[in-house]
Amino acid sequence: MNANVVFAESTEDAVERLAAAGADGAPLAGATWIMRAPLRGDRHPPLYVSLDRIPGLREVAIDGATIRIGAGATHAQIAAALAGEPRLRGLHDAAARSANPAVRAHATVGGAVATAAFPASDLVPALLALDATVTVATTAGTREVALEDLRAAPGSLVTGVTATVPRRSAHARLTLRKAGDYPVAIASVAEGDDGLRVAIGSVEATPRRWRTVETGDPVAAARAHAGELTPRDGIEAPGWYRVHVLPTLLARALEAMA
Amino acid sequence: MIAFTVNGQERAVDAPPLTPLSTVLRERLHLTGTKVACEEGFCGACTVLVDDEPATSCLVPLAHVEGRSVRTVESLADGDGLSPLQAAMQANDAVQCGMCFPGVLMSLTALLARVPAPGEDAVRDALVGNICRCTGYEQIVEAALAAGEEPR
Repeated sequence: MNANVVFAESTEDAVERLAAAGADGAPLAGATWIMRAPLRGDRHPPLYVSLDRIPGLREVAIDGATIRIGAGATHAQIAAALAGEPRLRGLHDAAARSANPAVRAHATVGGAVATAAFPASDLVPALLALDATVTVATTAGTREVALEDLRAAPGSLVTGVTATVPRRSAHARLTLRKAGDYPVAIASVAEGDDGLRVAIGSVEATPRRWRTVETGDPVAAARAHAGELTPRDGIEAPGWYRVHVLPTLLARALEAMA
Repeated sequence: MIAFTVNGQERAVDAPPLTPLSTVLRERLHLTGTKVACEEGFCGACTVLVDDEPATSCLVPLAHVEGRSVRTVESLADGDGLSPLQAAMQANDAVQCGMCFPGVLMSLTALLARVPAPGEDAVRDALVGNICRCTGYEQIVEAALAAGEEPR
């Protein structure tokens, strides 16, 4: 609990401070994951660079065929901004149903995509189904990285997420109870100009695209190719159960999208 | 020292910046109405308002409330005069073991400030993050609906 916290005034300021700190520093956004580090047995780095006071990092904008989300946008802000956009129903539902209202009011999209150790994120599979791109800033400038290829590195900062608005999309999650539970499994689907995209979350250690099931009959393919997955055991459910429910969840997502 | 407003009063606390707000409220400011149960943002017992929005105070680092306004359950009653929500809870026999209750009141206080006469769905949505182990939600929901109907 003895990490220091400094407040960055801008993304440039944050990147400079993170670069100076190297492996001894990390960004701090909504704090919902980082505040639970002691419960997970994780150690805090000596320094957190808080993004809490950077203006303009929270914008959600749909500009024609493109959606851009600032890294500091919370789940609640994303849900509110996308309420009137049926094509982005998958991302909307991921943001609106994740966790509980108080966590949604703080947890950010930047935190979701940068926290590789969190298997049960809702936003990450929804963004993978959108084939989203992440903007990563370093002292050398900014670059665009496919979310699939993102590896959070010391000295870098996720500043935003961009995706092409799909024709339609949907997000299905299974919780054993409703309130606040981590989902046992997630299936997020979107239909773009390139066809169907399927992403899964909470089943394996990390959310991922599941390209094997994107052609033909996706539900039958999910049943036939379950052996491709390396499911994780967890307090909510054993790994085999997560895989077992996945075809049904995928069917629900596809039905919701139709 | 990190300075912020608690229930309308300026306070300053000297504690590590990642200290949970819930710990600061209970152990430094002795505002023990805020309860701590799960300490992972799941149960909602520690819900307070930060700049009028509900927050699970176990997940809010002290550093992030600098300059902000925090309201706890202690702010609801004015002396012996209960808030309309508190009075409705009493009238509807909604109070049970009391562990979840301060958080329930703060989530509903925020809802009633935003939506003065909420429907049942809005009340239940607002309580999604407040887990009651007595499972006594029905009276709580009834009371919140009654409080919404009171002239304010």
